[in-house]
Amino acid sequence: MGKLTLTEFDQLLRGALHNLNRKKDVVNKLNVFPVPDGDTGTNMYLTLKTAVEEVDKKMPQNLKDFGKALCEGALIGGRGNSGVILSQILKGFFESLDALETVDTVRFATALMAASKVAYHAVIKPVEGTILTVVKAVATKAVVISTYEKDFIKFFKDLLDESRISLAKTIDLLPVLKEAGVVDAGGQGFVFLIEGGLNVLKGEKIVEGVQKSFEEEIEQMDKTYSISGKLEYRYDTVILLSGVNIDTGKVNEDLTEFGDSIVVAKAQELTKVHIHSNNPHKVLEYLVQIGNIKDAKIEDMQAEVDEFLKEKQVHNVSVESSLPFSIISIAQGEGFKKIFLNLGVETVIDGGQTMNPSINDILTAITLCKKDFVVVMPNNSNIILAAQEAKKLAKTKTVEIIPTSNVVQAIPAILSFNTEGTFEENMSNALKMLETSHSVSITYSIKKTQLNGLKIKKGDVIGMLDEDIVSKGKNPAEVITNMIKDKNGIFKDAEFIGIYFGKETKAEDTEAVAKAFKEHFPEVEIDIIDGGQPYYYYLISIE
Amino acid sequence: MGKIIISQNSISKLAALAVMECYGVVGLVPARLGDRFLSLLGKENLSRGVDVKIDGKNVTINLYVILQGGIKVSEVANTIISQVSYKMKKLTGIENIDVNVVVRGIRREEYLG
Repeated sequence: MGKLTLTEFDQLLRGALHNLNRKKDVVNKLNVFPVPDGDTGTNMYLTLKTAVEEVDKKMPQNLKDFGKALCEGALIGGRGNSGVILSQILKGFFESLDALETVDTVRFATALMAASKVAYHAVIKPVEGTILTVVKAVATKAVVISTYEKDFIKFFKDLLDESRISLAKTIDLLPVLKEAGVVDAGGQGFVFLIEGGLNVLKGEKIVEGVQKSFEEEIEQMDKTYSISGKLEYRYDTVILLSGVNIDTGKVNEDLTEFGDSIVVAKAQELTKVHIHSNNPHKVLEYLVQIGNIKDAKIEDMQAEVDEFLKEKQVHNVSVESSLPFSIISIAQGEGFKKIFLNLGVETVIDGGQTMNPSINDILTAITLCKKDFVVVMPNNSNIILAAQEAKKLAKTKTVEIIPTSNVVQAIPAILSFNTEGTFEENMSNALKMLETSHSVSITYSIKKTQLNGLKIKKGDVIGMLDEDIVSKGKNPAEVITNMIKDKNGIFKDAEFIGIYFGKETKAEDTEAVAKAFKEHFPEVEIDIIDGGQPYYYYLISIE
Repeated sequence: MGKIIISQNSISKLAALAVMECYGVVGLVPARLGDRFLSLLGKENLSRGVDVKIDGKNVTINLYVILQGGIKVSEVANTIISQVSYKMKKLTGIENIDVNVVVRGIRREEYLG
């Protein structure tokens, strides 16, 4: 293959998106720079996804419009640092192609060079050892090999090799990466994009991408619907149409007459239509004129919602809190969710390590709270910022954030609340509680690293006191025993130690851990509770 | 045991260096001048684009920045906040740091290809 046209570029981008989707967790795990919040892969993926969706919406007929749609989507959908950088790379690339209809390897290389320049242009002091470094290396290599290599498959193979070489060097360029023993996350994301492109050039087919985004979008819409009680539109209608010349834009517009939550997505000759309507028969009548109906599904959402609300009401009676304010807590694990609901927390948002809820999730929960005053417990240092943003956006409620960085910190804070006290008094008590309590997290290392003088191997069990890794070992009991020795002062003054065991924790481990505590601190009250959390063997609160 | 004192000036300098590495930031402008006198700062006095307030244990850092055009402003600003506060906490050990971003201007997009 010597030349790329609109069709190939479209497939190339979808292949890149598809590959990144499959491997985004690998990228997330590498994320230690600039802020170690484990979201680089997700951010890059969502940015590129919005970009490709914009292409689906605009259905461009030439390469210039394709690039425009893609860049616009990436601009709007840009998420996080890596997403913003990716949007600049796309912009530089496609602006350089301008009105070309076919692209050979030489033009492709020039466009990559332009992408690298534009990406570098948007920062005063570019840090080397990042996605920028990898992009520059690939672009430089492309310019050299494009002079003799005209076949795109071989060209892409060389670029992929170069990207991997450059990625491997990032660890030596950036000290933070060296200390953590990883390569750059954004750079790895870029390597996966090239790899995905190459897969498509080699003939791999992808259809799943479009389908998946369609499902995700609908799920989002249905979720917002299920909260509100009385439905404006009753029937959830999904129809699969076949036909080549279907104008999705026009179908979308025409359907607004029948209902809302409309999604129309097209993949080759199949078009999928989703709508919430009170007259599904009219929707069918209309669509029959557009194409051949291959499949149709109509569901009564009112019945589902009634069922859902009934369940929820039963739930609420038992947990109605007598506090003058609502509490929102963010947690992972069935055990913790139950504990919080029993403590009178109104809403538990699912989230925690590697799965941060969005600002919007928190804002929705705040808006739906029954009381005018709302307390939010983020329970993870990465979520505090999102909670603060949600607080700013919540116009109808008075919101306070108790900056808990661990889920076990939230429990003593909630227990400190007093129904007689004012909102302010309760908040200041909870903050005081936070200062005097400590938390210990026992988990395992996902990579080799060196921190605070500890050499940690992949798979080692590690113990964190508050936010710092302070001890390691082969099993949880060993880690705890080490920690008790090193940080005796913290445990000595405790009155209560709560041990929350996780989803994958072994019962005999728990016995050993409890025994270690009892031996060292016979005076302290110890409680063992099922937290059901993922990733952490134990979360321990020291009060 | 001794005491560690970090001057306001040092905090400004550290913050200025941190913000320069933030993607999307193409310049800092003086905090105290009106828009009419907007001018990009040279490397020596970058910290004039940073305004630091210290109140007991709390530090507030206001950053006056120029961003690259054609980039999602809200996303860049959020990244600046998390990146600068993370770096400042790590370097100085001060726990209570609030970072505010004031976008004072957008640099025109230009064709570089």
